[in-house]
Amino acid sequence: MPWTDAELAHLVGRDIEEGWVVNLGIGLPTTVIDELYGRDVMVHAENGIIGLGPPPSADAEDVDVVNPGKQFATLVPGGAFIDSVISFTLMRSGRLDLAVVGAYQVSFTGDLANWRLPRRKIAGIGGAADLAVGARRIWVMMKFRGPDGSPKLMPACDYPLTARGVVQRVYTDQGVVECGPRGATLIRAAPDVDEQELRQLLAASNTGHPAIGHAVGTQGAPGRSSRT
Amino acid sequence: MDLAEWSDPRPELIELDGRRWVLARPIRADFALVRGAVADRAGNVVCRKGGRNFNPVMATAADVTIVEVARIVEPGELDPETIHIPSPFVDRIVVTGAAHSGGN
Repeated sequence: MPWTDAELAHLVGRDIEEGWVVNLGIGLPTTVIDELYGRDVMVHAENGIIGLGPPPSADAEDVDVVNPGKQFATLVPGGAFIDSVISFTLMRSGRLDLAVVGAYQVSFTGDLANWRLPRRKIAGIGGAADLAVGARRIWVMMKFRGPDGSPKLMPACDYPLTARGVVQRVYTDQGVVECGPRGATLIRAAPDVDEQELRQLLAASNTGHPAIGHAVGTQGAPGRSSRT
Repeated sequence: MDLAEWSDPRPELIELDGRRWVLARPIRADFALVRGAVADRAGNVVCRKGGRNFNPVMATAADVTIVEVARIVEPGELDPETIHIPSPFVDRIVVTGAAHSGGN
């Protein structure tokens, strides 16, 4: 049986280490925050918060304290309200230990496509590229297969890339996969999932399929290696 | 089309210190409609909590910046250490009386 969204959030939360500063993307990644309450993990929200806390009780809702998905939130003790310049400097300078993001497609070597669908107009890349090249780790949470049934984890992305070779780990309903220069490795399969089939899908050739479209932010930010 | 700007599908790449970067040109608006919490009559604005995020930077990026605040006070009443939008960036102030800087 594939993992539910809640189980997946639990798996991600368990792998986040104490002391980390973490950004959680809109959608599925947002739910990971439920796993982090009471822990020594600071959640950064690009809309101006370091130290995003649990949702407030109904009588404590404050329109000036929301998460990036515009849901009511709180500030944890030790948190700070910040302006956009500080917020993006945090993202770009290698001070985020981890960004958990959603994705349309991820390649076996960690190329990330999560900002634009082909031939579809959207507002802009937002903070996606800044996170992708600026955070020290990128983990993706997504369904293993798209609505048409084809795997979203693939030898090479054919959607426009956000960044190349940045995804280290992909948490899907079918299993957890590590990506890297040598390709994708299944590190944990969901219960009763056909592990053999999954491994075969991930063993498909990942050479000779240059990504279509252009890459954005193809190289890591300088800050990325400045903090080790 | 309900968005003022579309992302350029072919971003401009520049090389700086031997590294390739995407050049994103800054946004420039005719009018910026931003939210604060309290203003003084000189035009200084204090924002509140998450309201500090986009509002002060956008106030710097328009020909005319209009700030909505819950209330207005006399010059000298705001703590100069806490001003988020200094008066030269503020062209108009609208006092709405809203409880929070973000709405009613």
